[in-house]
Amino acid sequence: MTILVVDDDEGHCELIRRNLRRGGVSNPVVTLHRGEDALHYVRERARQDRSGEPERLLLLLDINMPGGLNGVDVLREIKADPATRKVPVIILTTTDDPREIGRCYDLGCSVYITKPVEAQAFIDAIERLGLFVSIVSLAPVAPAGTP
Amino acid sequence: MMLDGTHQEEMTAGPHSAGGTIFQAVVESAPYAMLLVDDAGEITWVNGEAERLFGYSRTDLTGQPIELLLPDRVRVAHRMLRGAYARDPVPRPMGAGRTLHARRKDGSEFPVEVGLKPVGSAARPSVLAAVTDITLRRRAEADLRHLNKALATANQALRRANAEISRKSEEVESFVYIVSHDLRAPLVNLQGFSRELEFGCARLDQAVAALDLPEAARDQLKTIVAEDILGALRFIGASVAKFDRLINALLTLSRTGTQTYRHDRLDMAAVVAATIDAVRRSTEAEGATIVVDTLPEAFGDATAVGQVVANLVHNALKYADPDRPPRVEIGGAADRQEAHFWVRDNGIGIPAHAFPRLFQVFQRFHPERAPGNGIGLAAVKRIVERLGGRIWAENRDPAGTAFHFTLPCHPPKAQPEC
Repeated sequence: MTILVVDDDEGHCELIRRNLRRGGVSNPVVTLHRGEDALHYVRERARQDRSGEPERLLLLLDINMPGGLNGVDVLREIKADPATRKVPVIILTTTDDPREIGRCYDLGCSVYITKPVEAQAFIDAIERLGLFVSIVSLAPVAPAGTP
Repeated sequence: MMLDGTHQEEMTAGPHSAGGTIFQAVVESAPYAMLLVDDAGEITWVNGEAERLFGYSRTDLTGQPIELLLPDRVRVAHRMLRGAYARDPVPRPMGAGRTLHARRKDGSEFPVEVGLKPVGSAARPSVLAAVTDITLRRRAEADLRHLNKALATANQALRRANAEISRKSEEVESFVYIVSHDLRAPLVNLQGFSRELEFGCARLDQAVAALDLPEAARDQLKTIVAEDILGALRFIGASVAKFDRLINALLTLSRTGTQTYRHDRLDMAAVVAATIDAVRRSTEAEGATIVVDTLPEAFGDATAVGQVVANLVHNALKYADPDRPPRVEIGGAADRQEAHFWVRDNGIGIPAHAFPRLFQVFQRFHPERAPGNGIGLAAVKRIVERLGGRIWAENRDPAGTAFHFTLPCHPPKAQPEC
Protein backbone atom coordinates (compact mmCIF):
# COMPACT_ATOMS: atom_id res chain seq x y z
CA MET A 1 0.00 0.00 0.00
CA THR A 2 1.45 3.31 -1.12
CA ILE A 3 0.47 6.60 0.48
CA LEU A 4 0.33 9.37 -2.10
CA VAL A 5 0.63 12.84 -0.59
CA VAL A 6 -0.51 15.63 -2.93
CA ASP A 7 0.28 19.10 -1.65
CA ASP A 8 1.76 22.08 -3.44
CA ASP A 9 3.73 23.01 -0.30
CA GLU A 10 6.93 20.97 -0.12
CA GLY A 11 7.29 21.72 3.57
CA HIS A 12 3.85 20.25 4.28
CA CYS A 13 4.74 17.10 2.31
CA GLU A 14 7.97 16.71 4.23
CA LEU A 15 6.21 17.21 7.59
CA ILE A 16 3.59 14.62 6.70
CA ARG A 17 6.28 12.14 5.70
CA ARG A 18 8.22 12.69 8.93
CA ASN A 19 5.13 12.53 11.15
CA LEU A 20 3.96 9.29 9.55
CA ARG A 21 7.37 7.73 10.00
CA ARG A 22 7.56 8.90 13.58
CA GLY A 23 4.07 7.55 14.19
CA GLY A 24 5.28 4.18 13.00
CA VAL A 25 3.64 4.12 9.58
CA SER A 26 6.13 2.34 7.34
CA ASN A 27 4.25 2.29 4.03
CA PRO A 28 6.02 3.87 1.06
CA VAL A 29 5.14 7.56 0.78
CA VAL A 30 5.12 9.31 -2.60
CA THR A 31 4.75 13.11 -2.67
CA LEU A 32 3.51 15.16 -5.62
CA HIS A 33 2.96 18.91 -5.79
CA ARG A 34 0.60 19.36 -8.73
CA GLY A 35 -2.96 18.21 -9.25
CA GLU A 36 -2.23 17.10 -12.84
CA ASP A 37 0.66 14.91 -11.71
CA ALA A 38 -1.49 13.40 -8.97
CA LEU A 39 -4.28 12.54 -11.40
CA HIS A 40 -1.84 11.02 -13.85
CA TYR A 41 -0.22 8.96 -11.07
CA VAL A 42 -3.56 7.67 -9.75
CA ARG A 43 -4.77 6.70 -13.24
CA GLU A 44 -1.51 5.01 -14.07
CA ARG A 45 -1.64 3.01 -10.83
CA ALA A 46 -5.25 2.03 -11.49
CA ARG A 47 -4.30 0.77 -14.95
CA GLN A 48 -1.42 -1.29 -13.55
CA ASP A 49 -3.50 -2.62 -10.64
CA ARG A 50 -6.40 -3.71 -12.81
CA SER A 51 -5.28 -7.30 -12.70
CA GLY A 52 -4.05 -7.29 -9.11
CA GLU A 53 -5.37 -6.08 -5.76
CA PRO A 54 -7.76 -3.16 -6.09
CA GLU A 55 -6.92 -0.90 -3.16
CA ARG A 56 -3.20 -0.36 -3.38
CA LEU A 57 -3.21 3.39 -3.00
CA LEU A 58 -4.27 5.90 -0.36
CA LEU A 59 -4.50 9.53 -1.34
CA LEU A 60 -3.78 12.40 1.06
CA LEU A 61 -5.03 15.36 -0.93
CA ASP A 62 -4.59 19.06 -0.14
CA ILE A 63 -7.87 20.79 -0.94
CA ASN A 64 -6.24 24.16 -1.67
CA MET A 65 -3.70 24.07 -4.44
CA PRO A 66 -3.15 27.21 -6.49
CA GLY A 67 -3.05 27.08 -10.27
CA GLY A 68 -3.98 24.18 -12.52
CA LEU A 69 -6.09 21.43 -11.01
CA ASN A 70 -6.77 22.02 -7.32
CA GLY A 71 -7.69 19.37 -4.77
CA VAL A 72 -11.39 19.74 -5.52
CA ASP A 73 -10.81 19.15 -9.24
CA VAL A 74 -8.61 16.12 -8.59
CA LEU A 75 -11.15 14.61 -6.21
CA ARG A 76 -13.97 15.20 -8.69
CA GLU A 77 -12.03 13.53 -11.51
CA ILE A 78 -11.10 10.56 -9.35
CA LYS A 79 -14.66 10.05 -8.16
CA ALA A 80 -16.02 10.37 -11.71
CA ASP A 81 -13.83 7.62 -13.18
CA PRO A 82 -14.99 4.04 -12.41
CA ALA A 83 -11.37 2.88 -12.60
CA THR A 84 -10.26 5.21 -9.79
CA ARG A 85 -13.51 5.76 -7.88
CA LYS A 86 -12.58 3.33 -5.11
CA VAL A 87 -9.23 4.90 -4.24
CA PRO A 88 -9.58 6.05 -0.63
CA VAL A 89 -9.04 9.80 -0.23
CA ILE A 90 -8.32 11.81 2.91
CA ILE A 91 -8.62 15.54 2.45
CA LEU A 92 -5.98 17.81 3.96
CA THR A 93 -7.08 21.27 5.07
CA THR A 94 -5.18 24.05 6.79
CA THR A 95 -8.15 25.06 8.91
CA ASP A 96 -11.16 23.37 10.42
CA ASP A 97 -13.27 26.02 8.76
CA PRO A 98 -16.80 24.66 8.30
CA ARG A 99 -16.92 25.99 4.75
CA GLU A 100 -13.88 23.89 3.79
CA ILE A 101 -15.22 20.83 5.55
CA GLY A 102 -18.61 21.34 3.92
CA ARG A 103 -16.85 21.39 0.57
CA CYS A 104 -15.24 18.03 1.34
CA TYR A 105 -18.58 16.52 2.30
CA ASP A 106 -20.14 17.88 -0.89
CA LEU A 107 -17.48 16.02 -2.85
CA GLY A 108 -18.38 12.77 -1.17
CA CYS A 109 -15.33 12.72 1.06
CA SER A 110 -16.15 12.57 4.74
CA VAL A 111 -12.64 12.16 6.09
CA TYR A 112 -10.32 15.10 6.50
CA ILE A 113 -7.23 15.97 8.51
CA THR A 114 -6.23 19.44 9.61
CA LYS A 115 -2.59 20.21 8.88
CA PRO A 116 0.05 19.71 10.20
CA VAL A 117 -0.73 16.02 9.97
CA GLU A 118 -0.03 14.27 13.24
CA ALA A 119 0.43 10.53 12.94
CA GLN A 120 -2.43 9.89 15.37
CA ALA A 121 -4.81 12.06 13.32
CA PHE A 122 -3.77 10.11 10.25
CA ILE A 123 -4.39 6.78 11.94
CA ASP A 124 -7.77 8.01 13.23
CA ALA A 125 -8.71 9.04 9.69
CA ILE A 126 -7.70 5.65 8.31
CA GLU A 127 -9.84 4.00 10.96
CA ARG A 128 -12.77 6.17 9.98
CA LEU A 129 -12.28 4.99 6.41
CA GLY A 130 -12.50 1.45 7.77
CA LEU A 131 -9.20 0.63 6.13
CA PHE A 132 -6.86 0.43 9.07
CA VAL A 133 -5.93 -3.23 8.85
CA SER A 134 -5.61 -3.32 5.10
CA ILE A 135 -3.54 -0.19 4.77
CA VAL A 136 -1.30 0.68 7.63
CA SER A 137 1.81 -1.33 8.22
CA LEU A 138 3.06 -0.14 11.57
CA ALA A 139 6.72 -0.39 12.34
CA PRO A 140 7.67 -1.68 15.80
CA VAL A 141 6.68 0.95 18.38
CA ALA A 142 9.58 3.32 18.98
CA PRO A 143 10.10 5.38 22.16
CA ALA A 144 8.64 8.90 22.00
CA GLY A 145 10.94 11.50 20.54
CA THR A 146 12.71 9.12 18.22
CA PRO A 147 12.03 8.66 14.52
CA MET B 1 -68.91 86.42 -3.05
CA MET B 2 -72.45 87.16 -4.11
CA LEU B 3 -73.17 89.80 -6.60
CA ASP B 4 -76.42 90.71 -8.19
CA GLY B 5 -77.59 93.33 -10.55
CA THR B 6 -78.42 95.75 -7.78
CA HIS B 7 -74.91 95.72 -6.41
CA GLN B 8 -73.47 95.98 -9.81
CA GLU B 9 -75.66 98.97 -10.49
CA GLU B 10 -74.40 100.45 -7.27
CA MET B 11 -70.80 99.84 -8.20
CA THR B 12 -71.06 101.12 -11.71
CA ALA B 13 -73.28 103.95 -10.66
CA GLY B 14 -70.98 104.95 -7.84
CA PRO B 15 -70.92 103.82 -4.22
CA HIS B 16 -73.13 106.44 -2.72
CA SER B 17 -75.89 104.42 -1.11
CA ALA B 18 -75.42 102.84 2.32
CA GLY B 19 -75.46 99.22 0.91
CA GLY B 20 -73.02 100.25 -1.81
CA THR B 21 -70.54 101.57 0.72
CA ILE B 22 -70.46 98.33 2.74
CA PHE B 23 -70.25 96.24 -0.40
CA GLN B 24 -67.49 98.35 -1.81
CA ALA B 25 -65.55 98.13 1.42
CA VAL B 26 -65.74 94.33 1.18
CA VAL B 27 -64.54 94.07 -2.40
CA GLU B 28 -61.94 96.77 -1.89
CA SER B 29 -60.32 94.81 0.88
CA ALA B 30 -60.53 91.47 -0.95
CA PRO B 31 -57.09 89.82 -1.21
CA TYR B 32 -57.41 89.42 -4.97
CA ALA B 33 -57.82 91.79 -7.87
CA MET B 34 -61.44 92.19 -9.01
CA LEU B 35 -62.52 93.59 -12.31
CA LEU B 36 -65.95 94.07 -13.77
CA VAL B 37 -66.05 93.68 -17.54
CA ASP B 38 -69.07 94.45 -19.71
CA ASP B 39 -70.31 92.46 -22.71
CA ALA B 40 -68.16 94.54 -25.04
CA GLY B 41 -65.05 93.51 -23.11
CA GLU B 42 -64.56 96.91 -21.52
CA ILE B 43 -63.46 97.29 -17.95
CA THR B 44 -66.14 99.16 -16.03
CA TRP B 45 -64.82 98.86 -12.47
CA VAL B 46 -61.75 97.59 -10.54
CA ASN B 47 -60.79 97.28 -6.88
CA GLY B 48 -57.65 98.57 -5.17
CA GLU B 49 -55.86 95.23 -5.35
CA ALA B 50 -56.34 95.30 -9.16
CA GLU B 51 -54.65 98.71 -9.29
CA ARG B 52 -51.77 97.42 -7.19
CA LEU B 53 -51.42 94.14 -9.08
CA PHE B 54 -51.46 95.55 -12.59
CA GLY B 55 -49.79 98.87 -11.87
CA TYR B 56 -52.55 100.94 -13.49
CA SER B 57 -54.66 103.51 -11.71
CA ARG B 58 -58.40 103.05 -11.61
CA THR B 59 -58.93 105.79 -14.18
CA ASP B 60 -56.33 104.22 -16.49
CA LEU B 61 -58.25 100.99 -16.53
CA THR B 62 -61.85 102.08 -16.64
CA GLY B 63 -63.17 102.00 -20.22
CA GLN B 64 -60.15 100.01 -21.50
CA PRO B 65 -60.57 96.60 -23.15
CA ILE B 66 -59.76 93.76 -20.74
CA GLU B 67 -57.10 92.60 -23.24
CA LEU B 68 -54.98 95.50 -22.02
CA LEU B 69 -54.11 93.30 -19.08
CA LEU B 70 -53.06 90.32 -21.22
CA PRO B 71 -49.79 89.50 -23.00
CA ASP B 72 -49.85 90.50 -26.68
CA ARG B 73 -49.70 86.90 -27.91
CA VAL B 74 -53.04 85.92 -26.37
CA ARG B 75 -55.07 89.06 -27.00
CA VAL B 76 -56.75 87.93 -30.23
CA ALA B 77 -57.54 84.49 -28.89
CA HIS B 78 -58.91 85.98 -25.70
CA ARG B 79 -61.28 88.21 -27.57
CA MET B 80 -62.78 85.14 -29.25
CA LEU B 81 -62.97 83.14 -26.05
CA ARG B 82 -64.61 86.08 -24.32
CA GLY B 83 -67.31 85.99 -26.98
CA ALA B 84 -67.89 82.31 -26.33
CA TYR B 85 -68.16 82.88 -22.59
CA ALA B 86 -70.69 85.66 -23.15
CA ARG B 87 -72.90 83.25 -25.06
CA ASP B 88 -72.77 80.66 -22.24
CA PRO B 89 -72.00 82.54 -19.05
CA VAL B 90 -71.58 80.25 -16.00
CA PRO B 91 -69.39 80.76 -12.95
CA ARG B 92 -66.10 78.90 -13.57
CA PRO B 93 -62.36 79.16 -13.27
CA MET B 94 -60.76 80.42 -16.43
CA GLY B 95 -58.34 78.46 -18.58
CA ALA B 96 -58.72 75.11 -16.86
CA GLY B 97 -55.56 73.02 -17.20
CA ARG B 98 -53.48 75.84 -18.64
CA THR B 99 -51.21 78.38 -17.05
CA LEU B 100 -52.68 81.81 -17.60
CA HIS B 101 -50.53 84.91 -17.72
CA ALA B 102 -51.42 88.54 -17.15
CA ARG B 103 -49.45 91.64 -18.01
CA ARG B 104 -48.60 94.62 -15.85
CA LYS B 105 -48.42 98.19 -17.02
CA ASP B 106 -44.62 97.92 -17.19
CA GLY B 107 -45.00 95.00 -19.65
CA SER B 108 -43.88 92.29 -17.20
CA GLU B 109 -45.92 89.12 -17.10
CA PHE B 110 -46.99 86.96 -14.20
CA PRO B 111 -48.98 83.73 -13.79
CA VAL B 112 -52.56 84.13 -12.58
CA GLU B 113 -55.61 82.23 -11.60
CA VAL B 114 -58.89 83.77 -12.75
CA GLY B 115 -62.41 83.06 -11.53
CA LEU B 116 -65.31 84.22 -13.69
CA LYS B 117 -68.83 84.95 -12.64
CA PRO B 118 -71.57 86.39 -14.84
CA VAL B 119 -73.31 89.33 -13.19
CA GLY B 120 -75.60 92.12 -14.23
CA SER B 121 -78.93 92.03 -15.97
CA ALA B 122 -79.91 90.46 -19.27
CA ALA B 123 -79.91 93.94 -20.72
CA ARG B 124 -76.45 94.77 -19.43
CA PRO B 125 -74.58 91.48 -18.91
CA SER B 126 -71.23 91.76 -17.24
CA VAL B 127 -68.57 89.40 -15.94
CA LEU B 128 -66.83 89.76 -12.63
CA ALA B 129 -63.27 88.47 -12.83
CA ALA B 130 -61.30 87.69 -9.65
CA VAL B 131 -57.57 87.53 -10.39
CA THR B 132 -54.93 86.01 -8.07
CA ASP B 133 -51.20 86.34 -8.64
CA ILE B 134 -49.90 82.78 -8.32
CA THR B 135 -46.20 83.58 -8.86
CA LEU B 136 -45.29 82.45 -5.35
CA ARG B 137 -47.40 79.32 -5.56
CA ARG B 138 -45.85 78.45 -8.93
CA ARG B 139 -42.41 79.02 -7.50
CA ALA B 140 -43.22 76.82 -4.50
CA GLU B 141 -44.56 74.13 -6.83
CA ALA B 142 -41.41 74.34 -8.94
CA ASP B 143 -39.28 74.18 -5.81
CA LEU B 144 -41.24 71.14 -4.66
CA ARG B 145 -40.79 69.44 -8.02
CA HIS B 146 -37.11 70.27 -7.88
CA LEU B 147 -36.81 68.92 -4.33
CA ASN B 148 -38.69 65.76 -5.25
CA LYS B 149 -36.38 65.23 -8.16
CA ALA B 150 -33.33 65.84 -5.98
CA LEU B 151 -34.77 63.43 -3.42
CA ALA B 152 -35.26 60.76 -6.07
CA THR B 153 -31.71 61.31 -7.29
CA ALA B 154 -30.37 61.13 -3.73
CA ASN B 155 -32.38 57.97 -3.09
CA GLN B 156 -30.97 56.40 -6.19
CA ALA B 157 -27.44 57.38 -5.19
CA LEU B 158 -28.09 55.92 -1.74
CA ARG B 159 -29.29 52.66 -3.24
CA ARG B 160 -26.23 52.51 -5.45
CA ALA B 161 -23.96 53.31 -2.50
CA ASN B 162 -25.65 50.62 -0.41
CA ALA B 163 -25.21 48.06 -3.14
CA GLU B 164 -21.59 49.14 -3.49
CA ILE B 165 -21.02 48.85 0.26
CA SER B 166 -22.50 45.39 0.46
CA ARG B 167 -20.44 44.35 -2.57
CA LYS B 168 -17.29 45.81 -1.02
CA SER B 169 -18.02 44.18 2.28
CA GLU B 170 -18.44 40.83 0.54
CA GLU B 171 -15.16 41.47 -1.24
CA VAL B 172 -13.44 42.26 2.03
CA GLU B 173 -14.90 39.15 3.64
CA SER B 174 -13.77 36.89 0.85
CA PHE B 175 -10.38 38.65 0.85
CA VAL B 176 -10.02 38.06 4.58
CA TYR B 177 -11.01 34.45 4.07
CA ILE B 178 -8.47 33.86 1.29
CA VAL B 179 -5.68 35.70 3.09
CA SER B 180 -6.30 33.78 6.29
CA HIS B 181 -6.10 30.52 4.41
CA ASP B 182 -2.97 31.52 2.55
CA LEU B 183 -1.32 32.63 5.80
CA ARG B 184 -2.08 29.28 7.39
CA ALA B 185 0.10 27.39 4.90
CA PRO B 186 3.48 28.95 5.88
CA LEU B 187 2.38 28.85 9.50
CA VAL B 188 1.91 25.09 9.30
CA ASN B 189 5.55 24.87 8.20
CA LEU B 190 6.77 27.08 11.04
CA GLN B 191 4.74 25.02 13.49
CA GLY B 192 5.75 21.67 12.04
CA PHE B 193 9.45 22.32 11.53
CA SER B 194 9.76 23.91 14.98
CA ARG B 195 8.57 20.59 16.33
CA GLU B 196 11.02 18.82 14.05
CA LEU B 197 13.82 20.89 15.61
CA GLU B 198 12.58 19.91 19.07
CA PHE B 199 12.72 16.26 18.04
CA GLY B 200 16.20 16.90 16.65
CA CYS B 201 17.27 18.43 19.97
CA ALA B 202 15.97 15.40 21.85
CA ARG B 203 18.00 13.12 19.60
CA LEU B 204 21.04 15.36 19.95
CA ASP B 205 20.72 15.12 23.73
CA GLN B 206 20.60 11.36 23.54
CA ALA B 207 23.60 11.28 21.18
CA VAL B 208 25.58 13.58 23.47
CA ALA B 209 24.70 11.47 26.50
CA ALA B 210 26.02 8.40 24.69
CA LEU B 211 29.35 10.10 23.92
CA ASP B 212 32.37 9.87 26.13
CA LEU B 213 33.02 13.59 26.67
CA PRO B 214 34.66 15.69 29.38
CA GLU B 215 32.07 17.07 31.85
CA ALA B 216 32.64 20.71 30.75
CA ALA B 217 32.16 19.95 27.07
CA ARG B 218 29.03 17.92 27.81
CA ASP B 219 27.58 20.76 29.89
CA GLN B 220 28.38 23.25 27.15
CA LEU B 221 26.61 21.12 24.55
CA LYS B 222 23.61 20.68 26.84
CA THR B 223 23.41 24.42 27.38
CA ILE B 224 23.54 25.08 23.65
CA VAL B 225 20.66 22.69 23.09
CA ALA B 226 18.55 23.68 26.10
CA GLU B 227 19.03 27.42 26.04
CA ASP B 228 20.19 28.54 22.61
CA ILE B 229 18.15 26.25 20.42
CA LEU B 230 15.14 25.27 22.54
CA GLY B 231 14.98 28.77 24.05
CA ALA B 232 14.75 30.25 20.57
CA LEU B 233 12.18 27.66 19.60
CA ARG B 234 9.99 28.63 22.55
CA PHE B 235 9.86 32.21 21.24
CA ILE B 236 9.09 30.97 17.75
CA GLY B 237 6.44 28.69 19.20
CA ALA B 238 4.80 31.51 21.15
CA SER B 239 4.73 33.74 18.07
CA VAL B 240 3.37 30.98 15.91
CA ALA B 241 0.64 30.31 18.46
CA LYS B 242 -0.27 33.99 18.50
CA PHE B 243 -0.23 34.15 14.70
CA ASP B 244 -2.49 31.12 14.65
CA ARG B 245 -4.96 32.74 17.05
CA LEU B 246 -5.08 35.89 14.94
CA ILE B 247 -5.72 33.95 11.76
CA ASN B 248 -8.42 31.87 13.40
CA ALA B 249 -9.95 35.05 14.71
CA LEU B 250 -10.00 36.54 11.21
CA LEU B 251 -11.58 33.39 9.87
CA THR B 252 -14.19 33.45 12.60
CA LEU B 253 -14.98 37.06 11.81
CA SER B 254 -15.27 36.51 8.08
CA ARG B 255 -17.57 33.58 8.83
CA THR B 256 -19.71 35.75 11.12
CA GLY B 257 -20.26 38.11 8.22
CA THR B 258 -21.32 35.53 5.67
CA GLN B 259 -23.34 33.14 7.78
CA THR B 260 -27.08 33.03 7.11
CA TYR B 261 -29.06 33.67 10.26
CA ARG B 262 -32.51 32.48 11.15
CA HIS B 263 -35.22 34.85 12.40
CA ASP B 264 -37.10 32.60 14.79
CA ARG B 265 -39.25 33.62 17.72
CA LEU B 266 -36.84 33.24 20.62
CA ASP B 267 -37.69 32.35 24.19
CA MET B 268 -34.82 34.48 25.49
CA ALA B 269 -35.04 33.01 28.99
CA ALA B 270 -34.35 29.58 27.48
CA VAL B 271 -31.59 30.89 25.19
CA VAL B 272 -29.84 32.60 28.10
CA ALA B 273 -30.33 29.60 30.39
CA ALA B 274 -28.84 27.24 27.81
CA THR B 275 -25.90 29.60 27.39
CA ILE B 276 -25.00 30.23 31.01
CA ASP B 277 -25.90 26.89 32.58
CA ALA B 278 -22.66 25.49 31.21
CA VAL B 279 -20.57 28.13 32.96
CA ARG B 280 -22.74 28.75 36.00
CA ARG B 281 -21.45 25.86 38.08
CA SER B 282 -17.77 26.67 37.63
CA THR B 283 -18.28 30.41 38.05
CA GLU B 284 -20.36 30.03 41.17
CA ALA B 285 -17.71 27.73 42.62
CA GLU B 286 -15.33 30.67 42.17
CA GLY B 287 -17.65 32.97 44.10
CA ALA B 288 -19.27 34.66 41.10
CA THR B 289 -23.02 35.22 40.90
CA ILE B 290 -25.06 35.28 37.70
CA VAL B 291 -28.58 36.68 38.05
CA VAL B 292 -31.10 36.40 35.23
CA ASP B 293 -34.14 38.68 35.35
CA THR B 294 -37.35 38.29 33.34
CA LEU B 295 -36.54 38.53 29.63
CA PRO B 296 -38.86 39.56 26.79
CA GLU B 297 -39.09 37.41 23.71
CA ALA B 298 -37.27 38.47 20.58
CA PHE B 299 -36.67 37.39 16.99
CA GLY B 300 -33.32 36.04 15.86
CA ASP B 301 -31.05 33.04 15.57
CA ALA B 302 -30.88 31.04 18.82
CA THR B 303 -27.30 29.89 18.26
CA ALA B 304 -26.04 33.33 17.29
CA VAL B 305 -27.84 35.10 20.14
CA GLY B 306 -26.45 32.44 22.48
CA GLN B 307 -22.97 33.34 21.22
CA VAL B 308 -23.63 37.01 21.92
CA VAL B 309 -24.80 36.32 25.47
CA ALA B 310 -21.96 33.87 26.11
CA ASN B 311 -19.42 36.39 24.92
CA LEU B 312 -20.80 39.22 27.05
CA VAL B 313 -21.07 37.03 30.16
CA HIS B 314 -17.58 35.70 29.53
CA ASN B 315 -16.25 39.26 29.25
CA ALA B 316 -18.06 40.30 32.42
CA LEU B 317 -16.41 37.47 34.35
CA LYS B 318 -13.03 37.90 32.67
CA TYR B 319 -12.76 41.55 33.64
CA ALA B 320 -13.94 41.14 37.22
CA ASP B 321 -12.55 43.37 39.94
CA PRO B 322 -10.33 41.26 42.22
CA ASP B 323 -11.53 43.32 45.21
CA ARG B 324 -15.14 42.04 45.09
CA PRO B 325 -16.91 38.85 44.11
CA PRO B 326 -18.11 39.13 40.49
CA ARG B 327 -21.82 39.65 39.98
CA VAL B 328 -23.38 39.49 36.52
CA GLU B 329 -26.98 40.58 35.92
CA ILE B 330 -28.81 39.74 32.72
CA GLY B 331 -32.05 41.60 32.09
CA GLY B 332 -34.32 42.89 29.38
CA ALA B 333 -37.34 44.98 28.45
CA ALA B 334 -39.35 45.45 25.28
CA ASP B 335 -41.30 48.27 23.72
CA ARG B 336 -43.34 48.20 20.54
CA GLN B 337 -40.28 48.56 18.30
CA GLU B 338 -37.64 46.28 19.76
CA ALA B 339 -36.52 44.07 22.59
CA HIS B 340 -33.67 45.46 24.67
CA PHE B 341 -31.29 43.29 26.71
CA TRP B 342 -28.39 44.06 29.00
CA VAL B 343 -25.53 42.23 30.67
CA ARG B 344 -24.27 44.20 33.68
CA ASP B 345 -21.26 43.51 35.85
CA ASN B 346 -19.40 45.00 38.80
CA GLY B 347 -16.00 44.56 37.17
CA ILE B 348 -13.15 46.92 36.39
CA GLY B 349 -15.06 48.88 33.77
CA ILE B 350 -13.97 50.15 30.35
CA PRO B 351 -11.29 52.86 30.16
CA ALA B 352 -12.67 56.04 28.60
CA HIS B 353 -10.21 55.98 25.72
CA ALA B 354 -11.42 52.51 24.75
CA PHE B 355 -15.01 53.40 23.92
CA PRO B 356 -14.52 54.62 20.33
CA ARG B 357 -12.76 51.38 19.35
CA LEU B 358 -14.56 49.00 21.68
CA PHE B 359 -16.20 46.97 18.92
CA GLN B 360 -13.30 47.06 16.48
CA VAL B 361 -11.37 43.95 15.61
CA PHE B 362 -8.08 43.19 17.40
CA GLN B 363 -8.64 45.80 20.10
CA ARG B 364 -7.62 44.73 23.59
CA PHE B 365 -7.89 47.14 26.45
CA HIS B 366 -6.86 44.94 29.37
CA PRO B 367 -4.37 42.53 27.75
CA GLU B 368 -2.76 41.99 31.16
CA ARG B 369 -6.03 40.76 32.63
CA ALA B 370 -6.83 37.78 30.49
CA PRO B 371 -5.80 36.11 27.25
CA GLY B 372 -7.88 36.86 24.20
CA ASN B 373 -7.69 37.50 20.51
CA GLY B 374 -9.51 40.83 20.38
CA ILE B 375 -12.25 39.39 18.23
CA GLY B 376 -15.10 38.77 20.68
CA LEU B 377 -16.83 42.15 20.70
CA ALA B 378 -16.25 42.70 16.99
CA ALA B 379 -17.97 39.40 16.27
CA VAL B 380 -20.75 40.16 18.76
CA LYS B 381 -21.45 43.49 17.08
CA ARG B 382 -21.57 41.86 13.66
CA ILE B 383 -23.99 39.21 14.86
CA VAL B 384 -26.29 41.72 16.57
CA GLU B 385 -26.32 44.01 13.54
CA ARG B 386 -26.89 41.14 11.15
CA LEU B 387 -29.90 40.18 13.26
CA GLY B 388 -31.25 43.72 12.91
CA GLY B 389 -30.23 45.05 16.32
CA ARG B 390 -27.81 47.52 17.89
CA ILE B 391 -25.19 47.12 20.58
CA TRP B 392 -23.52 49.62 22.91
CA ALA B 393 -21.76 49.77 26.24
CA GLU B 394 -21.48 52.10 29.21
CA ASN B 395 -19.71 52.19 32.52
CA ARG B 396 -21.86 51.95 35.64
CA ASP B 397 -21.85 54.07 38.71
CA PRO B 398 -19.96 53.44 40.95
CA ALA B 399 -18.27 50.52 39.18
CA GLY B 400 -18.70 47.97 36.43
CA THR B 401 -19.87 47.85 32.86
CA ALA B 402 -23.23 47.39 31.17
CA PHE B 403 -23.48 46.02 27.65
CA HIS B 404 -26.80 46.62 25.92
CA PHE B 405 -28.12 45.07 22.74
CA THR B 406 -31.42 45.10 20.94
CA LEU B 407 -33.18 42.56 18.77
CA PRO B 408 -36.34 42.86 16.69
CA CYS B 409 -39.50 41.95 18.58
CA HIS B 410 -41.49 41.36 15.39
CA PRO B 411 -40.95 38.74 12.73
CA PRO B 412 -39.00 40.20 9.80
CA LYS B 413 -40.93 41.67 6.90
CA ALA B 414 -40.03 40.84 3.33
CA GLN B 415 -36.40 41.59 2.58
CA PRO B 416 -35.91 45.27 1.76
CA GLU B 417 -34.51 46.20 -1.61
CA CYS B 418 -31.04 46.93 -0.34
